[in-house]
Amino acid sequence: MAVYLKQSTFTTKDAQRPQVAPLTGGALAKRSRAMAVMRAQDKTTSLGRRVIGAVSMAGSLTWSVPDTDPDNATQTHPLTGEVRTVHRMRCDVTPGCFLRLNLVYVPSGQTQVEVAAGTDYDAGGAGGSVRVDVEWFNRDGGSITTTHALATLASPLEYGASTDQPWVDVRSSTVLFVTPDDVVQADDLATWTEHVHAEITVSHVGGVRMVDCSVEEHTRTVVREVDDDADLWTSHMFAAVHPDGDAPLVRYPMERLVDSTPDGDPRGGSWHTMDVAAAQRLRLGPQLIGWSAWNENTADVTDDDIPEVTTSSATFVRVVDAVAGDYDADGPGWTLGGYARGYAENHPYWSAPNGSIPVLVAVYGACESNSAAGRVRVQASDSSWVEVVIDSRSFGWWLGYGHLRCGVAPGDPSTVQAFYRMDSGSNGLQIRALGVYRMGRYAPAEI
Amino acid sequence: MVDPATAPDCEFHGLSAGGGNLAQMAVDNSGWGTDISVDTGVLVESTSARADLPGERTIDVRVQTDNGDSGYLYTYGNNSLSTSFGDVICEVNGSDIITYTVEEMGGSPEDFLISWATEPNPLTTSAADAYRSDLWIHNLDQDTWEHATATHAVASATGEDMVWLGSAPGTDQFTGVAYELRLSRAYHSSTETAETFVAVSSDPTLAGVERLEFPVPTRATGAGDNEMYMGPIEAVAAKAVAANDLLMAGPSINEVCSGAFANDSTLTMVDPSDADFTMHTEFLRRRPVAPSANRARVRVFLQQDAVGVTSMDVRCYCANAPGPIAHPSASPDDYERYYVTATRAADDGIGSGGGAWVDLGDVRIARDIQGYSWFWLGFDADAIDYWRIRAWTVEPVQETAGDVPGGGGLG
Repeated sequence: MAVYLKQSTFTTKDAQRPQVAPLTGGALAKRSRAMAVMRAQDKTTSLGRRVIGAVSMAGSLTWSVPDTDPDNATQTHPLTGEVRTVHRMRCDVTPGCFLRLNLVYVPSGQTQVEVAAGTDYDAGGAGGSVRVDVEWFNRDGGSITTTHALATLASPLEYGASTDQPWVDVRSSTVLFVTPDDVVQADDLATWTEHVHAEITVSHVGGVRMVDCSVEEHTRTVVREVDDDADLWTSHMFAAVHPDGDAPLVRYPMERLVDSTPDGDPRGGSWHTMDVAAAQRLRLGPQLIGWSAWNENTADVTDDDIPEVTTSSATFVRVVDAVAGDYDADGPGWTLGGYARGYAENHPYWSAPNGSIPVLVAVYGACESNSAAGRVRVQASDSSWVEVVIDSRSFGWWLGYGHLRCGVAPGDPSTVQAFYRMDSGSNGLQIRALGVYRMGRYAPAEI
Repeated sequence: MVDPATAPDCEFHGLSAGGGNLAQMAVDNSGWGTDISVDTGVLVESTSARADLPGERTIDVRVQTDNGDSGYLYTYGNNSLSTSFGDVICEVNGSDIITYTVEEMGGSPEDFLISWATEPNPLTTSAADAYRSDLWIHNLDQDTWEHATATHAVASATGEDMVWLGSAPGTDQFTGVAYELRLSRAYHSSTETAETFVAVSSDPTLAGVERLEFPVPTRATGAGDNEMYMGPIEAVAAKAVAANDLLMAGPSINEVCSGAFANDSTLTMVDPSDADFTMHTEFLRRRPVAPSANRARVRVFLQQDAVGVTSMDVRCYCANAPGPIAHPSASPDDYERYYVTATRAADDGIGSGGGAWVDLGDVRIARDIQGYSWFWLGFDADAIDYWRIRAWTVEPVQETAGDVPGGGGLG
């Protein structure tokens, strides 16, 4: 019989620092001192708030939805109800967390309805929404797709014109729980909190004028079945209901609460404490980069997917602006954090001035021709990069795993730049989105 | 450089400072101090236990060579690292998994560092790709790096001889000049390789706390079993969990920007509390910040241009509402706003490649009722004609110092 342990972590936001001295030699052995460590292990997964990806104005100065009369012979506005993708992301969701959709916008513009294709369009009404579609993959091989949306206010101005006072008219809205369906029962929660994988699409519907939109993680609930593999226990699950709740009676010291297999309760002892420490370092880490090629300035209202950036160059050019072909630590780029450094890869004998972390680089792209191949390089220093090879005409996620130089901590800046080139074949290499996240040596729920 | 022999996972380290002296390289500088033998032009350890590393390991070789050289650099059974007239070849279980033609290897001898690092492949789909290898080649004279990678099965050889600079005594000897050899038990990233064999970076000036994993023994060690003291396990676990408080704290804002010049923006408003600064809606963000952080480090990549004028100020705000004229709820929270400002004095022109990073420092974090922080940029451009932001990063910081950087406060 399956035995589940459940904790709500929704309101947990404080790290605990259990005292070390009372646990060292010569100190009196007391149950409470060991329990403090186990309780602290239950709070780690709730401290993330990882931004999985974001798409914003990013310095653009004009809205893609115009202020003009939508009653027109040509398509000048988005078609009513048409879904236009602006970002794609992928991540392994931190156990115990689900996603949030966060939107900042100014009132939406007009849409059009097509009366006669290419010759006659009427006003479809102002307004729009931003939606997030997530395909969730669990560790049992199952998947489910969910859709959540945020409606935006419509501009009251003529033709749905954009406001001339954006600071006064800026609005925000949030979908607090972007989750798989039916995550109420313990068995479902166990399935969807065991380090699942998510592939995320953010889209505009209608005349959205988006200032900023991000998808991030927020802690909610974690459930484990007592026979789950040891490396899945990123939380100790010590206390009931929530990490500060009632604790079981631990007969200190001992290895586990119930030492039977199956259905033994692994909590409460030194074995499980060690397993949780290992699982946290194995599975937890930051989401680092979530870039989309979508650009508010240049995107066309007829684009139903992210307008890709393309190169046919046989030598590397920078993905973002094609200005440079060589890595330049003093040039513009992204940053990598330095808080996730592992001991083995950053042994103190060498790592005082520098850091390195394992990452997964994911590129959503394609080649324009059959029998062609190209590659994307994500580079963090002159001696540190990860490459992703793309050799298909079908758009999809292409993955590369490797190790990138990172800072030791904030204040030690890292600059990360992405380059791409064609390796063989004709036409070009196309990229719509790019993501980078820290990935340990665990088997992901989906590759 | 870091002493490569002192690495705790070093199994063998041989060095010939002048190059090519096998007797010198046979002396093991690792902590084991177990020398190996010179035999007919190669270095050999028979039935080598320390080289029996079927999965994770790193081989580093520093040589002087050109594209006329060939021969084996390292051999353990049917697993080897070799060169062949400009190619570097990694062999696992008798199959060449990497044959890489070195771009920066010409007809004249130059110094190269060749590093072959192997680790488990987290993206494995079968036993055939259970491991992955990185081959990094550094031309020490030209200061260039090259890289190749491949996946492969676990190396199956065991109980073989460890052979350096040949495949067997008198066979397949390397025709270049070897200076340094190292076999390591762990995977070494290229960053570590560069710090060890090329140059040590200067110590950075850090903001806030530094975090590094505090290792805890695994259950397989038996350290947590019955009849063992429980205190030490809980003590190291306490250290580890405290070091994990920022484990998932990635950037809140990490973006590269469009090429538009911000001076053309009409999406602006003058800061009512400081008329020198104009706030830009196109740089307004609402993002979460890791709850363990109490500051955020802000950097922008700024390009600016004006004839005879070079100085402009950039300010990053962090507030619990989007600016001073935000829509308040019926019972609004106290308005909380902080900012940091930096001045940059440079004239970059308006070309597509100009600009530089500006480190604004750490800003205090204000959070709204849902836990989000509002960040935006403002500019005091004075007489600057053109400016644009080409990248913007906001990273969480846990600051332990008591000072309050920047300005602002409760409104």
